[in-house]
Amino acid sequence: MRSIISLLKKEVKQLNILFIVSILITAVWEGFLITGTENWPPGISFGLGFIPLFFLPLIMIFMAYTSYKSEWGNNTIYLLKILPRRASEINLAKFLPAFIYYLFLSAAVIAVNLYFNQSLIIQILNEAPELIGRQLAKQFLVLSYTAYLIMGIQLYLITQFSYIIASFYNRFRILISILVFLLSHYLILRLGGFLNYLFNWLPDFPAAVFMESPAGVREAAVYIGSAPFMVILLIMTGLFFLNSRLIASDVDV
Amino acid sequence: MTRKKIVTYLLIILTLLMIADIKYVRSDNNIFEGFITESIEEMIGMENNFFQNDFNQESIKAEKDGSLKLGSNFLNENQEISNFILENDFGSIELQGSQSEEININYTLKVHAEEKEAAEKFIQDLEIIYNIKGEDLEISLNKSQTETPELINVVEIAYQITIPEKMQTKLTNKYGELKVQNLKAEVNAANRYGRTQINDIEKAVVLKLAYGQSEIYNLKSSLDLDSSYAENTIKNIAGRFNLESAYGFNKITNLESKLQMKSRYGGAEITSTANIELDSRYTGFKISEVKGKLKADSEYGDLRLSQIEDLDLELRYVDTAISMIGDYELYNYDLKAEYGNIEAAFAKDDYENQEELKYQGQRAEYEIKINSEYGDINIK
Repeated sequence: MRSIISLLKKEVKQLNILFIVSILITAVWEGFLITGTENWPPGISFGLGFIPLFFLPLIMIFMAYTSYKSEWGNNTIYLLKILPRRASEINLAKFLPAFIYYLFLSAAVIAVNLYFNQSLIIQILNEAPELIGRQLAKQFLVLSYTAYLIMGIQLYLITQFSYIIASFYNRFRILISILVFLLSHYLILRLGGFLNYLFNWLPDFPAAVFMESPAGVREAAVYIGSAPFMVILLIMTGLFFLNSRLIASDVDV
Repeated sequence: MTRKKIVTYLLIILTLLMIADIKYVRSDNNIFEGFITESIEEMIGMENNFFQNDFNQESIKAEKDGSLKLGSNFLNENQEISNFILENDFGSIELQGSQSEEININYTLKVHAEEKEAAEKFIQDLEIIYNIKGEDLEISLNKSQTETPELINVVEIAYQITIPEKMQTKLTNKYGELKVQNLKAEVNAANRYGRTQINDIEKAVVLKLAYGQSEIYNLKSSLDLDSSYAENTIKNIAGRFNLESAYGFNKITNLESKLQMKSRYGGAEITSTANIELDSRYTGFKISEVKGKLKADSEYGDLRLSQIEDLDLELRYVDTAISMIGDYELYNYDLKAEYGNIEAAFAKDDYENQEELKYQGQRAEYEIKINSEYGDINIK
């Protein structure tokens, strides 16, 4: 445990400038939207408040791509490979700070926007058809945020995998990384279709929908398949250990 | 074979496979298909039916006609009655005023059910009844229309009613047509998910409409209309007209008094009116033949005006076009467009790309005052 913590500290130290700068930019942006746009239509500042969420996945890609590249750049890759630590521990120490940063910053952006735009949200909910009420909005928020987190994890691990594969070659590394990045997404999408069958036995997630008919309003449940979540979880876990294994024993330095 | 070669061959093979798959196979078997369960497929099949009536002729398992007559004797004995109140959760109401002092209600009951036998048994006890509460005469089914026993879904009622023309009405209807005509008393009505027609009413009308179309005409007094997700055609209104509209389109013609409109999302076409006061967001307007002052506070949308007199407009993110202005010397102009352009093609001078324009017409009778932010003003 102590060894992981020391590895984590090292990674956080390496990334702290990126963390601080991006958090500051996000804070200034949100602060400007909250305080400096009184005369703007509320819908505009609410919409613009979510812009950092578009950049966070890009930052995840950047962090993943540079996670091992920086070790080559600093000539610390030799040290990393001879460290008496398991490869998965080293990889976890690289992944965790990035994911925690992604989780907290995205949650903070969403929370700030929801908190400071409550009146607008209430107005939107009031103007929407009566039955699309708070419950649906909450479900939508939870599902969207879960999908957003999964996307961040997936982008990180696939980008890291793409860089490790590209590091087998001495030339065209960026091009090879892009090709592997695309191929990985394609394979997950396509193989996932077949792997879904393995997890069809799992219970599905219920979600409430409301229907109004002459017989009154009735709440009905629709079920969202849980298999893709398991498939992605399985593939991402596999990819995490594959990356660890590749960096430990297959990449030549 | 070296590791590098194996990886290279793998990459080439997988890339070719991906290209061939995308180009020729076009299968929809992908990871996202796993989210789709039977219940979601059913929901997709329903398309937009979440808010619509999915009961139809086939689900009617029993039907019965009936009538309720409250003659002049009844009304003489209960002279305190001045309001006719009816709430119909499913069906239609057709009501008209008559000079005779009696109330005639003809109705058809339709029971939507799972089984014919249960429906036929259930309908036997059903009838329309009345209840007097002070000045109110309440008409209703003797049982609930929606809270029904097992196997019975809902009771649909089609009313055809004649009442004394001076009797006030309060009507609520859902999932069907609402028609009210020829009354010399106040009308308060609401309709949801159905067509509405209100015409030839002499006293004030208060309406609440949602999800449907409406036709409202020949009102001798005021109209208060609260409309959402509805398409309304309104004409010949003598009294003041208050309109609150959300997500709908309103076609308004021939108003003799002031129109006060609050609109959120949608559009309106207004022709031949007196004074207008608009408070709008995300709404497009086409307005012509205004005899009086048009005052507006609008955000997002556009204004197409023609044949106008006085204007007092506060606009944000709204493009304004004024055409057929006639003799431009009849107007004094005070135009400001912050972050926008003013283009005015008057008879002698052309003003283009102006941010501010003031012009005193030589025979000025009317004032055009427009203060616009993030929008253009175009006068032709």
